Amino acid sequence: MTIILLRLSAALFSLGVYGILTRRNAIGLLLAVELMLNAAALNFVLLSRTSGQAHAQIFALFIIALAACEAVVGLAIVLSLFRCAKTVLADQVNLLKG
Amino acid sequence: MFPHAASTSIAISRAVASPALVWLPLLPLSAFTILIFFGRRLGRLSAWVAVAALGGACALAGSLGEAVRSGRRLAVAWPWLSATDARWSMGLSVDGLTWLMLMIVTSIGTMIALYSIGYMHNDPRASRFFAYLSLFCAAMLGLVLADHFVLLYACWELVGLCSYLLISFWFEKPAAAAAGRKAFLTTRIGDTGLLIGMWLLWATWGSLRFDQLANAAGQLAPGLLTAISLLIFLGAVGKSAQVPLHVWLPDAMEGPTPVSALIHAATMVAAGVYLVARSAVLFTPESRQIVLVIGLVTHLFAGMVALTQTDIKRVLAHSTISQLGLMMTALGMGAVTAAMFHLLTHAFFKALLFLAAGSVIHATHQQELSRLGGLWRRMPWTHAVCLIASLSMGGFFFLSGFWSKDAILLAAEHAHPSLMWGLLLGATVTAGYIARLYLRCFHGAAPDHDAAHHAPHESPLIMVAPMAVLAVGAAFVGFAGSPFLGQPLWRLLGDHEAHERLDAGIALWSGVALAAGTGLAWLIGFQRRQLVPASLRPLGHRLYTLAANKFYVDEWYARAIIRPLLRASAALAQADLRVIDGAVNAAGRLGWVLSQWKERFDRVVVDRLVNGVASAVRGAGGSLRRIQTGLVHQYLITVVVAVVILSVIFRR
Amino acid sequence: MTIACLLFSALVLIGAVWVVVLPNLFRAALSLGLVLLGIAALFILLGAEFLAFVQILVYVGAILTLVMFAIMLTGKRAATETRHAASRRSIPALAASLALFIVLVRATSPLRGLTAVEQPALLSVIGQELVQTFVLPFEVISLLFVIAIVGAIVLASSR
Repeated sequence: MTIILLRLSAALFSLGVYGILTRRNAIGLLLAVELMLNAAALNFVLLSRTSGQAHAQIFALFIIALAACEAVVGLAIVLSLFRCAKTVLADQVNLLKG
Repeated sequence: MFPHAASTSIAISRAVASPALVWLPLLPLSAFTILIFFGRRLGRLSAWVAVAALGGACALAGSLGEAVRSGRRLAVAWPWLSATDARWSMGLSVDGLTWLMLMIVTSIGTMIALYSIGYMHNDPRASRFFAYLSLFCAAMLGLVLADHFVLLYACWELVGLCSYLLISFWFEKPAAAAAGRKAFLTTRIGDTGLLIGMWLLWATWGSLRFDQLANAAGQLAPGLLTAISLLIFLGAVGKSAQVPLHVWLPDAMEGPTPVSALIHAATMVAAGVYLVARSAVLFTPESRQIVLVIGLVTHLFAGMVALTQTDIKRVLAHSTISQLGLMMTALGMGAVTAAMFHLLTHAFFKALLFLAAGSVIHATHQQELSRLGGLWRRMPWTHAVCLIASLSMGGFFFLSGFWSKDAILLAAEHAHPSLMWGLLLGATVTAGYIARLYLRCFHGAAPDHDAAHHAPHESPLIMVAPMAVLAVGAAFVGFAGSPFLGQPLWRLLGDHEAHERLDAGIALWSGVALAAGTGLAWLIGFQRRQLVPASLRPLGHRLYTLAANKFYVDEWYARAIIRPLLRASAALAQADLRVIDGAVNAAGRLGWVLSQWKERFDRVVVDRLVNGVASAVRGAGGSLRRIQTGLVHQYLITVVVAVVILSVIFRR
Repeated sequence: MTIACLLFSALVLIGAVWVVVLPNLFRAALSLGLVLLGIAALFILLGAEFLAFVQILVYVGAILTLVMFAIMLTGKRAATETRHAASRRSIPALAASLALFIVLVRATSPLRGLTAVEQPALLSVIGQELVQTFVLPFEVISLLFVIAIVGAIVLASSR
């Protein structure tokens, strides 16, 4: 089980990275980010189970809380960006181009 | 060969200090200064300033006579180069020889200055003329007063400068300007000899004071003394127009006639004779021989040319050269006093002859003998003084010239008989040309006057009076050296070889010479009779042409010396232009070429380098800029890749 | 146990693949919901029931709802993506993520020998630890909530 879950969290994380790199829509990016966070939380809980300590679970709790905050703020940014640039497509927002 | 030589040195007596001497040259010098600055404002008055200065100097010189005649020497000196070294103190000194020259220069100078008032009456630059005249007198007085070779040389040069200024006084005439230049350059050659001689004396003996010369003569080697004396004589050759440096004196007649009278008859040309007399103690028998030869050649040579000249002033110029040659001959024989005696008498009658010629020229505006004649009626005073001067020069009994010439003939007889015959020949020639001049000018048929020139009349009193005074001198000054008054001249010059009585033989022979010369002049020059037989006529004609062209000396000089020199200087100028300027221009061009290369190098290499670096940076920046896409996912992929790589690198 | 684990793992995996691949954003969000539920199930299997509840409550209940709202608010056109742009980027992204996957596997391979302990962590222990050992992060997270709420309101308010 340990191996499976380890590989699963690694795969989820990599899929999240793939999603970040691939997704054009900003909200899609956020979804991928949530995926990555969940991969990390899964890893933490696994470790909690194998060590017997509560610390890792608490970390996972914090991760969930943080994910919530980040999703809120991120979506607020996306919405205001949508209002400014009339688009949510990430590759069309290149005002930072150097 | 010349047994009397050793004893004819000028006696050197102890000196008496007299600071008043400094006024002698200072009076004319201040006249010069005044006239140079204020001459134009003074106008007519400027002449009288000059006359006053010269007259004052004459009076002052006269007042010194008492002391000098009693055998004292007056002197004043100042330290010049060194305060302690006595060899370098210079000043003025008056002994018998100097006093004689002083009297000659100041008295004749004053008379000529008075004469010039009339002669230069209409000249707009008259004040300048009198300024130069005053400067000349100041320099001449300085020359005879000097007690040091260096001071003498300085005045020598100054006198030469005044001669140049006065000869080319009418510088609008190109002939006058050229004549001034010729005079200056020719005498320069002589002056260089004098300078080298002075230097040699300084290098070997160490002192250039005149009162030390006797000691020098006693102690230096004879060969050295010969060299020094000959170099000094070279200076005299230039200044006194001896062969071969005589060519400037005939040309110098381009100047105004008073100038010719004062400078080129009486005083400046006599400076050479004075110099040799002053440094007589340095002359060895060998150098005296050379002096004699040159003097004799000059005397005869110039005399012959004078016979053939047709311009009044040219005749007188060649006559001057000839008489100076006679003086040099006397010096060459060691008869210094006789030479100075002749200098005295010659100054009077030659100056007078020139003034008379000037009077004629002023009245008739003619100088050619062919256009003159029969003036004795119209210009009685001029005629009278000219007659007196001519007779004096010819050696008419009792007049000055007779006594001085006889003194020289006497010395020649003692020296070498053939020398006396040569001098008698010269005397004949002298009588011949002066008689020819007098007869052609004042007697014979008067030429027709065209309407442009009115008939000649006598010159004004301001011109005649000085001539009359000089005529008195020309007639009677010779008595100073004659046996009748106790030979005051000989005593003055410290010479103990005076003769107590008249030498009848010499007197007779000189009388014969005078008669022969005058007779031949009457017949050939005046009556135009042909005395030469027909067979010898071509030869005679050829000789005449040779003499009339002054033996082609000027032409020879031009061909042999002047033209090659000018060619050489032109060649050097070309060399300067091509080589030196070429080198300078090449250096400039080289600099230009180098700067071009440098510019090209700078443009191609350096700029490319710099620009290359800049564009490389820009290119790199441009390439690198593409990373900054502003697109987040590209940043993210970069992050991911970086993480992967780093974790590979840092795996444990 | 292991079978259930495998089953739920597969569910989660498929759901995750759908999240990153599906062009329709709405469906991608729903796939995320599937993933979250699957992970909650895995939590329960791992003995962290509390965490599973929190997961469902917060993630599925709040965050997913928020995402839905955002998708609806940003319009229909934005909800679908075109294909071609994604395909241009997908190969290097695939390579990168594949590389990352390998790295992660290799990094965590020392841990594969670990086995589960008999007693999972007790809830009471979690609570105690939360207010004793982790009191600082706890309080900071509260602060973070406040900041996030204020920030979101400021950002999202119409100006």
